[in-house]
Amino acid sequence: MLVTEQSPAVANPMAVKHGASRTLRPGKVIGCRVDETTLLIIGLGRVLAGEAVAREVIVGVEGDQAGTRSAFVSEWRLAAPSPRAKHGFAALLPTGATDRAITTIRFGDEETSARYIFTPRLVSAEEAAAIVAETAGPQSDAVIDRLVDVLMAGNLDRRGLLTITALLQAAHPNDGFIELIGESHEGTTFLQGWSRGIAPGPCRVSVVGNATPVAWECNIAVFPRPDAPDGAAGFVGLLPATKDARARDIEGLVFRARAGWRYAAVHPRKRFVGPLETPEHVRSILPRTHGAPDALLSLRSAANSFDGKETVSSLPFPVRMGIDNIFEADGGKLLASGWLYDPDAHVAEVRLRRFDGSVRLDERWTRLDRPDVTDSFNDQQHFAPSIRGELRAHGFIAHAKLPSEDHGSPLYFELTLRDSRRAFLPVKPTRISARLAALRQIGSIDPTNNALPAIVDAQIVPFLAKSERSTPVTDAVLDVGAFNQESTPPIVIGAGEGEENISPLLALLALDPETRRAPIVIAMPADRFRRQAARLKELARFYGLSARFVSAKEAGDFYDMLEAGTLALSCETVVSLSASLVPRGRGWYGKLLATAATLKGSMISPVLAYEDHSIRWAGNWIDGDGDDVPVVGRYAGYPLKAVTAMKLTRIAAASLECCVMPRDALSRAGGFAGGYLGAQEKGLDLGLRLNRSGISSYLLPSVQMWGCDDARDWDNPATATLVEEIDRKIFKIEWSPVIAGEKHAEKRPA
Amino acid sequence: MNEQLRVLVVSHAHPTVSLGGAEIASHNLHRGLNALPDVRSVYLARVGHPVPRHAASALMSFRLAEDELLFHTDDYDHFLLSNGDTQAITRDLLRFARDLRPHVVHFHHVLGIGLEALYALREAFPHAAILVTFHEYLSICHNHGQMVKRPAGQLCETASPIACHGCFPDIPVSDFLKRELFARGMLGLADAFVSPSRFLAERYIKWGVEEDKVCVIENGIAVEAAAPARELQGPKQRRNRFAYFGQMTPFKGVDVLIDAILRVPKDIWGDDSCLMIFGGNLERQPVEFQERMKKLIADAGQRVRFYGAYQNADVPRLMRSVDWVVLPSVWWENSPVVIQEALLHRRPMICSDIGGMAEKVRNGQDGLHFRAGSSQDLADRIVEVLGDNQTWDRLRASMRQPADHLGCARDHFKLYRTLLRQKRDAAMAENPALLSHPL
Repeated sequence: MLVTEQSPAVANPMAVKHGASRTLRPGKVIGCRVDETTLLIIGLGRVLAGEAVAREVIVGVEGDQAGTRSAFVSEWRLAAPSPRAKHGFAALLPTGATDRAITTIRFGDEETSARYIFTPRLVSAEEAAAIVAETAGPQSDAVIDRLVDVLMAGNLDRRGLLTITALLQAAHPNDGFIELIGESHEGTTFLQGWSRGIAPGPCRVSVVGNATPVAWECNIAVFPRPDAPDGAAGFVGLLPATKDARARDIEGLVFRARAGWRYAAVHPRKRFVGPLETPEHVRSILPRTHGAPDALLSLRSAANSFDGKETVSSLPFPVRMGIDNIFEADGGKLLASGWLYDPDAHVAEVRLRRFDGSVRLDERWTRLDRPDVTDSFNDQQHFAPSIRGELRAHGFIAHAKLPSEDHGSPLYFELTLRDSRRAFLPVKPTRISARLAALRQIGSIDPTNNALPAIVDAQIVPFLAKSERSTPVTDAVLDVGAFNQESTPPIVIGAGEGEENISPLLALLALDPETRRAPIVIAMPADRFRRQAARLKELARFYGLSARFVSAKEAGDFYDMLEAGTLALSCETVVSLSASLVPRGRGWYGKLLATAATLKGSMISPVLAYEDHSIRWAGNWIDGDGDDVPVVGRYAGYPLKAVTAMKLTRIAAASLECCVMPRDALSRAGGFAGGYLGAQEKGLDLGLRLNRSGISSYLLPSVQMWGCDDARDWDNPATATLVEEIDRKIFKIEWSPVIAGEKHAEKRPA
Repeated sequence: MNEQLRVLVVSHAHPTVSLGGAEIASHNLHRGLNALPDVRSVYLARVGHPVPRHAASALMSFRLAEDELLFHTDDYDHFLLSNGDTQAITRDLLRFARDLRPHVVHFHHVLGIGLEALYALREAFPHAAILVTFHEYLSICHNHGQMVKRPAGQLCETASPIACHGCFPDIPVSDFLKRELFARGMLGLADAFVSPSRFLAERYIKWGVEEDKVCVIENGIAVEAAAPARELQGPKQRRNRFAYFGQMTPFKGVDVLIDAILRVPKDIWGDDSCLMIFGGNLERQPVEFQERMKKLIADAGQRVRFYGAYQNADVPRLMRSVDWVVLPSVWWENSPVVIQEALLHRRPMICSDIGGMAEKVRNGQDGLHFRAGSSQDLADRIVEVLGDNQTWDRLRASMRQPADHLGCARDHFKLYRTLLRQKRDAAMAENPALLSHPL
């Protein structure tokens, strides 16, 4: 039974009252279900011995839930006593869910205690309240108050709370309303209204409106409301932030006022204020309120909450902040960089906040010198540091994680100063992949900056670790010639960001009779596809190749393109080939396939050589003893002749830059990891995973490919070095524990 | 084979448009072949901007002879020696070639036409003999095919992707690797390679061209009457008229020559010695080089006379006033036409001691060598010959005859026949049914 503003009890209490007096008869009790576990019982008679007006009593129940239990009883003298009854009582009986089975109830445990029979029809909470009001007269407030007291102390669910609100509204109609609800970015909720019963100070409230009622201590402050009914004061209060009580769901408050429990419903014409307006509203009302110091402090804090405006630049101290970059990747991972000028150390805390998520930055950031900031502020007289001010590194870089549900809530920096005032700086993050964010960030740091190693270790590497990565999406496929992927395993060429011109490679494939006949897949980023597809199509026609051109929606490196290319096929086996490689001589394709035929389901790579005839890659091995680098490319840098006579060799990871492999191997192993910046560890990481997922990896030294490392991948050599260093660290974090664990397992005696 | 041998000679430019040695050599071959019985040669030269292309096709003419044709290309990648307009190759070049049905396709240069033309003709005519004549090192060296380093101009002995990147720091190593493999792969489609000098042949073999496929055949010139020796007049009769014939590029060493002239002491040079420069294409060189040359020539005063460009037909007349022909090139040179011309007109040469020059000008017999790039050494040589008339007479007597273009054409013809026979034998070995199939 729900109480609504339009319930007859509130609209017309008198109607109920008349009915009530007819239903209450001696020897009978009336039941009103409070919630699933409690029944309110009202009857006439004296059930409490002695002077007590309210206590726990043992009751006996007959019927389906026979047995004794303890119940709270509140008793009163009837306002209009009769010969048959001078007292009335109300009891709270713990029950099961069914309400029809109880037949009689006996108060007290003697056989001689009075027994009452249950009236079949249950009454509503309004009717119950009316009965109490009528029979208890001036005492009814106290009675209801006692009952609510006991109920509020127990385990309440929404239904129970609604029953209580009905009782209270029936007992104290129009006691007050909540007229304004203000949301804030921090999740706290501001309430404003008027009430007869409310008093300034801490106040236990229960919010009606969500599935599970939650009770809080709410700090109330009051202000004069000349327009409210006599005796009523305006009140304001703050509800703490919680996921369980959303501002929009609030229906009313049950609270303990000076005179007892009261209910203030949310007025049907309530005002709802959004987070950007709430602080200003609080500011406007605050001067008129009075209350406990705690209440006023928290209200002042709410008044100074973030309202969407930047307030750092108007601080009356030499404190200023500027943000250079703020990136957000999937999963709420953030990377921010900027500067905080605070020579006199006014700032106590720096936080990054969004809605109810908050993360403290000043304990985890890395600082770096910003001479440009120092110079700029030194010129400004009122910003020059005081005599005690120190020379600091003003710049900072920090990574953090905030919940990423999209409320549309703004992201902002919050500075808390030593005098506890707060200032804010809203920012708009750039949404890009973690990889691009890290690259842009390191690209903007001077490579000679001595804070760079700390930045890499403390910020960049953790930011990248465990990044998610989405599978590439193909958005166009173009076939030239009769493309038949079942004739022989297709050669899948990945032309990533660095590889602009693949026409020489196409020519070389056409010049080799084996590869001339093979189906060839070329995957490239979408913008390249748009620019070059027509030209490449003509080239394929000219050379007589059977080709499939695949466009991958987003830019990526060779590995991303390789994955996109394999997705555009359905055959069993493919031969991957990076567009940065060039075959060394003819016959490589046939040799790889012949070997693969004898080792079904495995991956076989040729040796990759530099153009100066030294080895670029000839297999990866797990290093037995080395702790620093868990996996080594053992022959890297040696003369090519050192390996060309070797036989087919089992290795720890094949090279995806060129190998024959099962087409679905990449997706089976989970695709490429998202955290690497460059290509080397990224390929190695997947190669290791593939090997461990049951796809044996081999090196075939009798076949070789030429390839070069190109500095063009990065803007400058310093970035290239940095990228390598970061990738090595991430790789080590990822794989050292795994490999060490295996070594440990091997060493344990059987 | 009884039918007439049909040859298609492909050149990167037509001699009426462009005055290089390769153009002249290829055109001479074409004329020489046509002078032989049972041979019919057609000459196809590339042309491009600023000549406008016809809408109907890439083929055109300049009101040339019937057996000469032009092929217009504009989408040429100099770095990769690659023609982007493969459509025109398929549509126009192959169409014409199929009507011609050549037994032999002979490329002089792929410059402008692209290696793709070689691929297309190979595909279309698997039984034809395809040859490529090398006139410089373009397939090996991106620096104008000179194998001279940048920016300092030192001579380069071996190309490699890393070394080439050193000369062109803006071009990544990987691009040079691709260039090398692409060029060598495509050239490998040819049946034979011709080089006018042993020196150049050795370089290509070292680069990776199959040695068995390489032959050396000298570029022949149209032999006519030799210009008579210059009449000596006056009291001091000396052979003191020096001449330079050729293009005015930075690799030709004209600055070395002028510098050498200026180092000759006044009393030895006298007042009737002279250096004549017959040089074309100065206006096509980089501006700073043009400025430098003009200044050098001006500063040289009376010792040097600059006559500007000349036509090949003028050479006999010009030779009349010349005693010595100087070749001061600072690059290797292959087989400069001027050597043949000097041999024809019996003008002893003074040349750099490198490459094709050193090979073709026998030191002490056809002329004299000096240290390449050294103006001092060249000056010494000039001082020696100015001091002793007998050197000139002796050399003139021991100079050899030039190769004539008809002889050159005959040598080529023999080569073609040999190649065709080899191909036919190989094809029959694979498939005897081909015996009845006309080539």
